[in-house]
Parts: sequence; structure tokens; C-alpha cells
Amino acid sequence: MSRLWNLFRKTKLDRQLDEEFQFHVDMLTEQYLKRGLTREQAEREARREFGAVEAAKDAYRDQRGWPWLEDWVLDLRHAVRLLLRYPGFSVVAVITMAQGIGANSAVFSMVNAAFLRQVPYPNAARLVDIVRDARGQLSPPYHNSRRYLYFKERARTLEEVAASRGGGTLNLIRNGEAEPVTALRVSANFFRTLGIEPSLGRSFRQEEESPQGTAVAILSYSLWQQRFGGDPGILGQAIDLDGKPFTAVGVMPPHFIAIPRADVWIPLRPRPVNDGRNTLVFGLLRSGGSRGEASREVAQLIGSYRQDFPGEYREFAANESAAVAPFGIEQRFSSRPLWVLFGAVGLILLIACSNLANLLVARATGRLREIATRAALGAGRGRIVRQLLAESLLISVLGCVLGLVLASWTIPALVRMSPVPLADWSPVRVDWVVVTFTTALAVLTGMVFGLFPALQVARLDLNDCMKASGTTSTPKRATGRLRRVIVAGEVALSLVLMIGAGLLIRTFAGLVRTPLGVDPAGVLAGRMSLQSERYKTTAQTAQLFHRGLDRFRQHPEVEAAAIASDLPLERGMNLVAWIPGTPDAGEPRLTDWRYVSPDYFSLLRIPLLAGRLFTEADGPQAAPVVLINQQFVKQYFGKENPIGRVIHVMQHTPEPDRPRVVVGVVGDVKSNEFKQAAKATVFVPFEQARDGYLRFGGGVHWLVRSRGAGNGLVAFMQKEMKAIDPLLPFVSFQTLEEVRERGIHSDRSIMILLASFAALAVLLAAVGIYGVISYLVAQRTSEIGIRIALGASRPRIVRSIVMEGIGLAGAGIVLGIAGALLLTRFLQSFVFGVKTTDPLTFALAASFLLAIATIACLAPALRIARLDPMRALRAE
Amino acid sequence: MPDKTEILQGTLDLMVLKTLDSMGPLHGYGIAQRIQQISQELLYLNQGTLYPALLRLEQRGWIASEWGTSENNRRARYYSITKAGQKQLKKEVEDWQAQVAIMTRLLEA
Repeated sequence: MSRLWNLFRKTKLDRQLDEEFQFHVDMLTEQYLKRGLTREQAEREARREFGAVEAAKDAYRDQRGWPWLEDWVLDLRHAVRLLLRYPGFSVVAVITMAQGIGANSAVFSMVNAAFLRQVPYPNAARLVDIVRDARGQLSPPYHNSRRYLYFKERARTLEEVAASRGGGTLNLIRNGEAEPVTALRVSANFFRTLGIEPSLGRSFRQEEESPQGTAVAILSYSLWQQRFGGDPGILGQAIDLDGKPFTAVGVMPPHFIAIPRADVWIPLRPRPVNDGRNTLVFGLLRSGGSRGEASREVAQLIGSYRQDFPGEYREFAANESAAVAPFGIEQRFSSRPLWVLFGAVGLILLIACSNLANLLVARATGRLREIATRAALGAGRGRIVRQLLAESLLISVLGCVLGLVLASWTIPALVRMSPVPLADWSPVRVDWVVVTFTTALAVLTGMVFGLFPALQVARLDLNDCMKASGTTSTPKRATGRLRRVIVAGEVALSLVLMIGAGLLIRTFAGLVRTPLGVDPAGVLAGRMSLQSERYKTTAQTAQLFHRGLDRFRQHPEVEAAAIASDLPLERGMNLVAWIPGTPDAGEPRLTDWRYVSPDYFSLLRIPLLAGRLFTEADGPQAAPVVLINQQFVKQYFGKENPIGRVIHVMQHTPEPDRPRVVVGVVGDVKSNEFKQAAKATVFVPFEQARDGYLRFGGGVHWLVRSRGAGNGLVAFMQKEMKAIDPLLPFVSFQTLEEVRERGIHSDRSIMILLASFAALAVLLAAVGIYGVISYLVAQRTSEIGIRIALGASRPRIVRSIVMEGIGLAGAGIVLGIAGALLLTRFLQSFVFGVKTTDPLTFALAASFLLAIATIACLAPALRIARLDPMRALRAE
Repeated sequence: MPDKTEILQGTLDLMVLKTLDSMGPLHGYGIAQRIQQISQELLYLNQGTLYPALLRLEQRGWIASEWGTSENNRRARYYSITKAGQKQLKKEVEDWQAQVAIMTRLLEA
């Protein structure tokens, strides 16, 4: 270390200094020579007059600003020596910090990926989502087409207003083979707005936006490579999407990452009608323009839109306006649970730092005499503080390095069980932002938590320390108090985390027990897209369904087969209905609208509560009927008998739907959000669907319930379907168990992560309690020795020590409960079926922590109780 | 040899500034010689201590230094007073005189 330093010692400045001094001495020597002294005498006189050369150099260097650095190096060397001298302490300290910092680094890398990175588009900085804004409460940027066009025509602060809408799954047909591809409908200026153009060919032209324009498509690079062998001749050729020819006009560059993901883009073709909120609208700020300016303009525009289209008024939430937000707000919305995790690891870091501070206070206290000696020999208070600080900084920086390693190990697991959807364009990894954050965190915590004990020690009366003898002295009691406060704080913090984790565990337990309304075991679902020209009418589709269901039922393991436009445990189609005969019949009622085959209810074990189920007789020619669920009855009929009542949808459209009669009531089934009550649902027999309505949304789902393990069922269904229509492939298969799992995945992840964090916190707090009690006991060794010698019973001594620890933990628990009452409100949106102030959770967490604290004190207490009094006294 | 007076702390700066102000650029040896000469050898100057003072003055921007050639043709570092140094000198001289006046009055009272 010191040799390494020497390498840097001989600088140019030093050489100049040597030269300057030499000149001076030479001149003096010459002067003495002139006075007639011999050379030897002259040189001696010259040196005398110049004074001690090395002392002068030191003084010079001091002035030059080296000592500052040299002192730091000395402090650092001192710190390294100390760490090496107490390896046990050092390992515990560094690992403690590594855990605290590593947890923060890992979670921050997710926060960084979700919130801090810009989308990978050249125009990222100027891209904004046009969101709905109800007094600061922002909603995702979905609008109807008329609103989109309104913004597009009028916005002056935005250089471009662009839009996209999900195009669902289309079957790309080539050489007699069909392959499902994901389509996205985009406005002509979509790519220009992002700042990325096709690398081959061109993007859409304005005239291709009109309904009369030719059907054109742009391909993703991977689709072009995989399906067209990267053949540039594809441009200008027609590709077959579900029987419709689209002229390929462009191929996107390989590095283009589509948000949302898509294989093929086709023109949006918006018409100025209220077609529901499913067009994603975003814009490009004028260069030099601000978001505030654009927000004011879109808010103004929505105001005038309201006046222009009062009929749409009912769809507006109260006080709804519009604003712009940085692009990608949906991703940020869905990533919000990360903040809870970030808060949790923040608490862990605090606990880890408290432990470090505690260890440092203990160590500094143990070295009080050494420190007092240094002070007596003239070390400034600042210097002493700096030395202690070097130690804590060294520990936290080592912890930082180890923490980064830990973080990069944990990230894959964290990503696997991420409670939030992660964007594929923004990988979670330790990049320079994460490294910077982590380093800053380590240095900051090292400084703050090192300074705290260092100042405490520096403030002590060193005179007292010098006078104090042995292990019992006044100043130590002062730092002992500090240590107790720190430990109580740790207990409080870990209790807050435990209570948070406890609430989520109870939430999850409740969630798993919550009746879903269906029996998912053994149910397989295959999805397919029905965009083909061959399935335009309900009659065509119905024929397909009948043939498919008949074939599927042939399989020996298949107990039942059914069709559903949307899966249970997922959301259905939102339709607004009117119910004649109710007090406010003119009010539109939001419903969850689903088309099903008659077997749907028996297959899923959904109970019939009143009336009848669908039968084969409810065909296209029969009177239109519907089934409703319990929630619908509760919400819209109250205590009235719903059987025989009429439901009307699409009343105000050019072709209103026929009134449909309620023939039965079925049990509630959860929609996608298990924590919420089932939605008011309407079931319609698929044969009575209006033409075109069966092709909506994500396509249609084939459900089969198997008696056995269901092995080979997927291949069987694919084979049978191919026999019916070779150009109609299944897009994907999943079991209902998987659908259910997806519905609770986020809650499970947050629960597991928070529970692990709480466990880590409790472990750290236990180490803290153990440390402080061991220390207090060690301090009282001689006192206890005397007490034992005087006949104190050992159980009594153990009890008094454990009581001391329990007192500490108790103080921490009181503090922790207060903290939890303040902080668990942030869990409000995660908690279900239990209040955030649930007394049972609070009590359980507190008693668990108390038990851990007791165990942590018991070890040192038992050790001291076995003490040989003679040895204890001799130790004095 | 008569008793020599130790240099009062802080006064060395003033001496150096005054020397450079009246003599123009000088090397360290020259400054030391000049101070010894003026004090008529009554001052005990450990000449090595001159250098930290020179560096301090340079760091404050009151003097500047550059390498040049000495009267006997050797490389030497020459120091000269800066504008800021002259201002500082004026201020320090005033302070000094004020202090002397106070001390004189106190001692004569």
C-alpha cells in the first residue's frame, strides 16, 4: 500500500521543489565562500541558515494540499487494517450492508427499467400520450376515433397526432399454410411520429387511411425473414391475411421494437364516430414546445369537443378533461406496485445501516482510549471523525460492490416473478444508472451512518475516557443509550415490514379462498381468430362451431366441449344496455357481454339459480334470449323478478339490436380482477349473435373439460380443426388453471417478495438485538460476576438480561405499530378482504418479533449465566 | 552575535509582499537576502520556511512565479507581486500601522 503510494510521490512538483531549494542553498554556499570560508564550512553554514531541508519540504507539501490526500490514504489504510484485524466484525458488517444495498440495487434496476428509461425511438423525448385527466387522476390514452380526429385536426402545440388500435390476430396464409400473426392498426403518420421509418419500402400514405384506399401492410423484420425469407421482392406483392389481399409496402428495420408488439401493421382508417375507447392516441411535441403548453391545449380542445358533441357527454367521467404525459404511461401505470417494493427495500437499507452504525459505535467505544490518546497527542476532532468515517465508508463501499454482485444474481429470479408486466424493450439489468444509484446510495449511507456514531464519539469528554478504567465507565453508558435507540428503531422498521407482509399474506390467503364461480380443474382452452372472410356471418361461424364441438366430443377423455367469446376469469366485451320497465329505464347500464354455447355452464359448473339454461332450441330463428348473473340482478333489478324481462343493446345505433328476453339467472363468475365483485354479465347463445359480433376482440375460445390428464388433447384438437378448416389454426392453448394463476400472479409475487424482505428485515433486526445485548452483557461482566459471587441465582440474572432485551424490543414494537398505522395505507390497493389496520395481523407480527427478540437475547444471557465469577472478577 | 528576533507569525507574508513590491521579481534566495539585509541581520530567518509562505501567497493569487535564469546563469524560480498582491499589501500595511499605533498608545499610556 505505502509502496504503491510512493510511486506517485515523486512528482514534477517535487522535482521543481528540489531544484529551487538546491539553488538557494548553493547561493548561500557561494556567499560564504566569498567571505573566505572553506567549501566544507561554507556548505555547513548554508545548510544551517536554510534550516532543515526535509522539514521545509514537508511544510511546503502541507501547504500544497497533499496532506489532505495523504491523510485520507492514511485513514483508509487504517480502516483496512482495522477491518483485517477484526475479520468477524468486518464480514458481518460488509454482508449486512451488501444485503441492504443489494436489495435496493435489484429493485431499483426494475424501477429503472420501468420508469427511467425512454422508449427506444428517436423522438422519445418529444413523444407524449394524450391521456384522460379527471382532476389530476390520469387514465390511459384511449379515446374514440372521433376524439382522435378532433385532436389531430386542431392541436397546434403538437407537430403530429398519431394513433393505433389493436388489430387482433390475423392468419397469414402462404403456400396453403396459415400462421397467426399479431396485427396493429396504425395511423399513416404513426412511424413518422415515432421517428422510425421502414428500412425497406415506405410507410403508409395519407390516402391509404381512407376507407376507399388500397389495402396495404408493413411487415416486421422478423416476420419478413421467417415467412418471406427476407426477399426484398415482397414489396408491391399481395400477402394473404385471412383471405384478404394486402399489398406489402414496407419492412421495418430489425432494431425496431414495436410497442405494443406486432408482426404486421395495417392502416387505422378512423371514421369520425363514437366507436368506444379503444384508439390509443399520442402526439409529438413541436420542437421547443413544452408538455405544459400541450396539456393546456388538449384540455381546451376537450372542452370544445364536449360542446360540439353533447351526446357523448354521458361517457365523460365527472370533470373529465385531457392532458399530455410522457409516452408510455400505460407501462408506468402497470408498474406502480414496484414503488411498494422500493419502499420496502428502503426500510431494509435503513435497518442494515442501523446495524452498521451500531457495530461502529460499539467498535469506537471499545477504542475510546486509543481515540482519547490520539486526541491528547494532538489529533484534531475533525481528523478523528474522518478516521471513523473512513471505516464506515470502506464498509459501505465494499458492501456496495458485493451488493451489486448480489443484485445481478437476484435479478433473473426477480424478473421471473415480477409482479408487474415488464416491457421487452427495457430489460432489467445492472446498467450504469443502477451502478451510479447504488454507489451514491452506498457512499451516502456510509457517510451518514458513519458520521452519526463518529460525532457521538468525538463529542465525548476525552478526559473522562482517559481517566476511566476497565470496561465500566460513564461515556460508554452514553453510547450505550444511543445503541439502544438504534436497535429499537430497527425493531420498529422490521415490524412495519412484517405487518405489511402479513397483510399481503392474509390478502393472498383470502384471494385463493375466494370463490371464482367456476371449477377450472381439467379445463383446456384453445383460442382462435375468426377474421377470415369465410366467417363473416353468424350462420357460417355457427356451422364451424357445431362441427368442431361434435368432433371434440368424440375424444374418449373429453367430458364436455363448449364455445365462449371470452374466457371466464377474463374480461368480456363491454356493452351498454337499456332495461325497459325499470325506474330509470333511460339510463345506460354497463354490462359484460358474452356469447357462449349451451354447454358452457355445465362444463364450467356454473350453477343455474332461476329459470332455465340455453338449449339447442334457442337457435337463430327462435326468440332472442339471454341469461344473466346474480350480480346483474342485484345491480339492475334489485328485488324484482328478472325472468321474462327485456334487455336492449345498441339502441341508439343505426341498426338497433332486437330486445332479448331474460330466461334464467346463473351464478357469478369472477372477471379479470379477482379482488372485485363479479361484473353484471349477460350471456347470449352464440347462434343468436348478430353477424360479425363473434369475431370481436381476441377471437373465440374452445373449451374442453377432460376426464383424465388431458395428454395429447392439444394435438387432437389441432388435428380435428385442420380437418374442418386447414386455414384456421389455433393461436394458443392454455388451461383454466393457468388463467386463474395469471389472475393471482401479481398478488402472489408481491406477497412473496414483501415476505422475503420482511424476513430479511427480521433477521437483520435480530442480529442487531443480539449485538447490542451481547455488548451490554459484556460491559456488565464484572458486575454480574460479583452478583453471582454474592449468591444471585442464575435464572434471575438471565431473566434480568432478557427483560432488558424485551424492553428494547417492546419500545421498538410500540414505535413500529405507530409507523405501520402510518405506512400500511400505501398498501390499500393491494389489500383485499382485510383492513390495513387489521388487529390480528398487527398482533401476530408483534408477538413473532417479540419471540425473535427474546431468542436473540437468550444466547448472550445464557452464556453470561454460565460465567465463572472468579474469571469475571479477574478480567477487571 | 546579537539576539535575533523570531519572525512574528503572519508578518513574513507582509515582508515578502513588500520586498517584491519594491524590488521587482526576485528568486527565493534574493528575497531572503533582502529581508536579512533590511533587518540588518537582527532577524532570525530560517530561510527554508520562506517557501511555504511563497506557495501560500501564490495560492492566494498575490504573487506569481515563473522559471528564469539567475545572475550566475542558473535556472531559478522568480517571484513577482500581482495586482491583487499590491492591493493586499496596501491593506496589510494599513492594518499593521493601525496595530502599531494601538500598541504604541497602549505602551505609552
